[in-house]
Amino acid sequence: MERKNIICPFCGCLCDDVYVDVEEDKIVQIFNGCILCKAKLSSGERVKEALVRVDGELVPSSYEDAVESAAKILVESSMPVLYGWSNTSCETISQGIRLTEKIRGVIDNTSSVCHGPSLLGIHETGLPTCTLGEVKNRSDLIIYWGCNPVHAHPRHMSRYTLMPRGYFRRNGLMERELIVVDVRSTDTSKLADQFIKIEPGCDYELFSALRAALRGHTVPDVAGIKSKTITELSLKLKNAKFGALFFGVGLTMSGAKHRNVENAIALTRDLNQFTRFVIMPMRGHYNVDGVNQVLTWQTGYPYGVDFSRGFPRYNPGEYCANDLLASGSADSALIIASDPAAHFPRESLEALKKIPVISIDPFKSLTSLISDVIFPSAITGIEASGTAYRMDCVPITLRKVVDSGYKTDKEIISDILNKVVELQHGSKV
Amino acid sequence: MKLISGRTIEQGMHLEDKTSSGYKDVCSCCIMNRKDMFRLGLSDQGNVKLKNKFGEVVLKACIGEIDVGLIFLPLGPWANAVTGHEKENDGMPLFKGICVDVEKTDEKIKNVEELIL
Ligand code: SF4
Repeated sequence: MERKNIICPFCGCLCDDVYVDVEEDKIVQIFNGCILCKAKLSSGERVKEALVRVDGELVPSSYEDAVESAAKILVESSMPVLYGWSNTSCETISQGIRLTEKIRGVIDNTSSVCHGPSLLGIHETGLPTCTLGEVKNRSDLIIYWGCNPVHAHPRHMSRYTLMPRGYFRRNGLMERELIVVDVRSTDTSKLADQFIKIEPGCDYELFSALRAALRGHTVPDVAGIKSKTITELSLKLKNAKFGALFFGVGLTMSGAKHRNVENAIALTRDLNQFTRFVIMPMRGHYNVDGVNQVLTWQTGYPYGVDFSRGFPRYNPGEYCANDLLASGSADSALIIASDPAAHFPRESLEALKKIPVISIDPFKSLTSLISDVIFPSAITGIEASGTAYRMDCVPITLRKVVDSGYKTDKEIISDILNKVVELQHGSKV
Repeated sequence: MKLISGRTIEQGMHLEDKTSSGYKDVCSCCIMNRKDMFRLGLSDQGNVKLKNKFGEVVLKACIGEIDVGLIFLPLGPWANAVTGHEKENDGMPLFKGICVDVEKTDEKIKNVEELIL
């Protein structure tokens, strides 16, 4: 038995202090990981072999035949959508972009159903941010707005924000204050020094009121919050030595959506006239930020990129996976490292069921139930190495600690790309 | 009433295990305010039907810490049955603040395969 250090491949915290005991290429014990990490590493039904749908039935297939079937589906489509990517490595994503360009498809990731509006807000205003290490070492005021890290990022508070001792915060928790803003009481709000319960969909108004109060204006009651509370809160923010505002999909999915984020960033920018304040989205999947990074390097845009004219185009609301499914434009889909059948609205799911679907996933996902070609793959971060970006945009190398014998996501995408080129031009890349 | 779907740790623990009964138990159980439950004649853990223009779904309703008029449901296929996509938006479907009609029901909660296939 050997004890090995891994980077947890679950959420955007990418905890690098997780250890596993490995015996005969099996993880037998996990140390330091939270309950989500342990659930990912120890449960889940694996897909054992490649499957191809023949006459309505999924039947086992050789890997080569599955690659050929997948490549044919993609080559014969006029608007293939390649969706997911947030639970795999940057190296796989890079290959995926090359594949999308070859087949003149659309590449989109889970940002379009989580922090896509954050990216639109960031386009407008920029992002005054820092690394989580800086937050740990300096922050004395932490705000969680529209997120519930106790459930979604269980070690965020203990590793990076509220609890750890930092270089300038030797007493950790004792030197920090926690404010939670949410529409409902959560397990995170129960830990807060101050919980502000806001009316649903009124975040934009509260940010504006706080910005006005910062400038010394008298504000009325806004979003169900008393004028006095807003004024006191603005003073608290102003008087912090180093404040950090973390926001979740509570901002991006409700009310003014990307305008919420834009206003939150504007508030952070305003606060920097008085003190040091930073803002950061709470990214969910462990490499959702990596997809935005790699897509931006290679295409200029962070998600929902359309190659149908041979060059990249970007217009969220038109080229995101849900837009193309709902409008009936998508005529095939390749789903990798995500499960849209479980997380897309019903009408997108119905559209997905009508078109050929290729899925690449280590586990039996709900998307695999409606897929026509299924590839089992190695779990990146456990059975395959690669690069992932933490929620603060810090790249971290994921380690391979177990040899599973499964093909990696990158190998599968590269093989499909080779086959596509062969079908298109009669030669390999 | 307004439905808010969101992540929970229990839902996260079943992410790689979505055909299990545990996933169904977690993702088909919504939280409502005691007063709303009383108004609708619901008992704690009783079945409730949510309906809107996007579809309908039967859930188990549990009393929880939430404001009157709001319902919280972990994200997943049950929430998706009543979530939708607005045209001319920023690509983000409606996952939070979705208007739903709520009624008591004797219908049973569908399992994941019935919802997907
Ligand atoms: S907080 Fe996130 S990255 Fe850290 S151990 Fe838990 S699931 Fe893994």
